[in-house]
Amino acid sequence: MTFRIKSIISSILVIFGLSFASNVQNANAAFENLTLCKESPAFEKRLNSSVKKLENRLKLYTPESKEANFLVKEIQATKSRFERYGNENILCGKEGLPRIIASGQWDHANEFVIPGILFIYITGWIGWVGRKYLRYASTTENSFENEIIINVPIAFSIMNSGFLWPVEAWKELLNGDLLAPSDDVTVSPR
Amino acid sequence: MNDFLKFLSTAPVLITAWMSVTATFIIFINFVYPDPLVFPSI
Repeated sequence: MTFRIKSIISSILVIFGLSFASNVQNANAAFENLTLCKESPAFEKRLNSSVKKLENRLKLYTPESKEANFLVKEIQATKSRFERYGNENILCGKEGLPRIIASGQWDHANEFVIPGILFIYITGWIGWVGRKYLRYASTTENSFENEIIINVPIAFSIMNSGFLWPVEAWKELLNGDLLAPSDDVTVSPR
Repeated sequence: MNDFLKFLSTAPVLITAWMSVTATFIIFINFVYPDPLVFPSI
């Protein structure tokens, strides 16, 4: 039984590894089709046409009116947006749209890797403190009531203590507290 | 007063308050720093 699970896991890993290796090649090949946004003529063209559209709309309104002020602000925002995307070393496709590089290479880490890690960290924090609170509630007398009517001071202290959750989770994994023992997990009759 | 605090501590009330705070935070970030596409490099 365990042998079967092991062989399934190893074959999954092999498939993963193969797909990853081929993905890297594909990504490198696709990079040749991308140019820096600030050097891309199509990107420049998009900026000009976006501003032009707004300026055409601006002509319809009397200056200093509410709508005109809004459109002036919108033109500024569009220009600064394009300028920022240009300065952030983002790569653009042939059509002039920015692309996010998610291949994990370090010079593009701020496009996917860092936000991705932040996302996992924050969601992990939320999940970890939720689990901690449920475990606290299960030790109290009215465990169900404590899940519906939250004990706010204790919940807050648990929330604030969750920032080191990866360390805590690793510790719990090592001392066997993170995962439930197989005997506790119900299975359907087979 | 105690009953009112208990009402405020119920899960639906807390989730409403919490999500309002989160939404305000995200809207504020987008107001101060509009159109983020990549994580700002320091």
